[in-house]
Amino acid sequence: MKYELVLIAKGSPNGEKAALKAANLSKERDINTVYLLFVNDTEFFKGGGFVHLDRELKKSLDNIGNIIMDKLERVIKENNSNIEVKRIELTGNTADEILKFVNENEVDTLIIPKDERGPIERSLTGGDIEPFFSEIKKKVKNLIIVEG
Amino acid sequence: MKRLVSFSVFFVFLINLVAFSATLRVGGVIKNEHGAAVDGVEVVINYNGKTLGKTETTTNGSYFIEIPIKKINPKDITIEFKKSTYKTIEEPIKNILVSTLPNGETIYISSINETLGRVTTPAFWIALGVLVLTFALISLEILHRTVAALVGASLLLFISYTIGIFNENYFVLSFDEAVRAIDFNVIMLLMGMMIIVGVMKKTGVFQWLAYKSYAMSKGNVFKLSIILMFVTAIVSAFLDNVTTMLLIAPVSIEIALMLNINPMSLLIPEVIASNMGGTATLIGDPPNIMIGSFAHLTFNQFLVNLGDVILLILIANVFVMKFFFGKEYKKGKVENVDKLLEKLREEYKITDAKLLKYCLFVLAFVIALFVTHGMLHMEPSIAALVGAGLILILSGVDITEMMEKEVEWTTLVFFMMLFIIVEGSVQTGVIMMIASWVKDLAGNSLTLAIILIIWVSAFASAIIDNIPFTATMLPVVAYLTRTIPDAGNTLWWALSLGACLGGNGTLIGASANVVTAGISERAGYPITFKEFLKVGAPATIVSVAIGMVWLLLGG
Repeated sequence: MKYELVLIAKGSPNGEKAALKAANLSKERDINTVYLLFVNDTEFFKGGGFVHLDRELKKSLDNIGNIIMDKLERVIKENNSNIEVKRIELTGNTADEILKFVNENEVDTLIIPKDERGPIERSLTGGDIEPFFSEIKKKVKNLIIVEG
Repeated sequence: MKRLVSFSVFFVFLINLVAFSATLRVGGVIKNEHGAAVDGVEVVINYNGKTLGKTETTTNGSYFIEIPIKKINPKDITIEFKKSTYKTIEEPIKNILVSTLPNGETIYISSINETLGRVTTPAFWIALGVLVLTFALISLEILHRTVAALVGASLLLFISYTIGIFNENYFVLSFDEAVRAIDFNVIMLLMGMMIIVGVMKKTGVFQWLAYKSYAMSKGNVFKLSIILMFVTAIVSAFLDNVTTMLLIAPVSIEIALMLNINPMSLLIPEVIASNMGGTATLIGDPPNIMIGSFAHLTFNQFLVNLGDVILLILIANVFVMKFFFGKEYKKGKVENVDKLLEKLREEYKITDAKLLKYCLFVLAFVIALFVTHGMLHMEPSIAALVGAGLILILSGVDITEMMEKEVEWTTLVFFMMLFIIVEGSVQTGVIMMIASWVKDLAGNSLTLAIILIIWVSAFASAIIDNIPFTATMLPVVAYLTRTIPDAGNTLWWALSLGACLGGNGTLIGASANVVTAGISERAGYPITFKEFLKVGAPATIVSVAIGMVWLLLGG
């Protein structure tokens, strides 16, 4: 499938900045649909208490994902009222799922919000897509990274 | 002729009877320099380089040996005590009492109690190396903690049964000692509680509690934060902290996002409260389960001695959190409180009311058993197992699914292996060395010992896993409790407060912190090490200081 503009959904201030960027870009390039992509990633902790709560956590993260996407949709529409926002929800490891998505589909522009994290946080909580940026770049025509 | 033969046989029998009619009985207790019983000490009775008999000391360090002696002066006999990692003692048997039984048999009785001194053998360095390596592998997360502990324990046994067989200086611990070291009270208690929680979480009650907290706060964010802190602390006092945070944190994030505030301002107070709540009860945190089992402390003793101070610490931390997140709380606003409430009510409702009733009944029953287990002389694990059995019958859940998915076998294996590694250090004198250091520092001062244990435990728990740390400290605190006058159980409370509250110091201090950071990261709000430290370190210092003053004032 072909996607003109895909925005990785994140609830942080950088996530909102990325949504604003998507709205402006869609106006500039006359794009009528923005796809919001949220990865429901529960694969971040393998220690005690986790195994038996996988299902509950997925459900909770779904709820969080919906709120984040509601918020970002509002930001996009406030800045471009003519745009249509569609949602894509994936489940699994964040980096793997994004890579799989760009490999299986034709993505013209991908906007990724990036929050600063140190090596400790990365190793502890995972969800690290920075090492895969070069691979993602190869697959999409335009990769826009929105940083703080 | 026949009579002559019979007479000769009878005469030989009589001679032998008289010759063997003396018996030597020796018994006693063998202790180490810390006054702790030493089991597995080989006790050998020798005469002119010839072994007459041997035995081993039991788990309470006692031994008893009885040998028939013939034409030997018992004073010429020596007794030898030997065990790897201890200095061998050989001495003549002294203070012999002689008594003659009515049948003419002579009994020689002696009691020999000895204190064995340690000797630093290669086994000491092996045990120390494995202990340090396991700590490092777990703390730096190079290996999964269960794998690290399993490799460590198996390495100790492998060395003992290969090199240790040819040279006893390399023998760390026997298989029997390893098996005996596993505290099955801890394992069963954890397993029982895992089953109870496994069934209970199916009812959605934990998420419902978070929603109710929001409903009670009526849109006031600071009030919401206080209610969430207390709800999390109470739930954590009975369930493990990781489970509590995995269930409550996502709801809190959802509320925070809808209130347009940084989720961290609710999550950090929650996880800090979770670690505090777990400190108040015997079953709230793994270090407490281990301390309770090792020191034979009851559920009530924990609640009575730690419950009030934890409440005080929790109240103090409400103000600490207000100091750090006060501005964020003021930012929080929601356009339509009723609409948000309706949404949360829909998302987080009780999914199975009937099952919840059963669960609450069983939980109440289990808590009643915990409260009375001291009076009944019943191990707390029995209460948890009874509860698990009851809940399985009442809920009718699939036992295979429960055992496969709800019981965290990796955690249970981690505990078992850890007990073996620590036993290796006990057997070789590593723990004794640590205990001696602490004792030298504290002298006979209980005040100094409290300060030392609570702060060292808190600092260590902030940077390394508090489970292996507590396992290592158990024999150390036991020694200090035995030797410091009027220590009572105070040092156990110091260890509990330090080990559990110390986890709040850094992001890596407790598993619940890591889980919370992971969930927050998924919402796009990564909690960095620095951000957590900024709040966690002062919260820990305040908490530990209150705990220390409380203990110094006599609890």
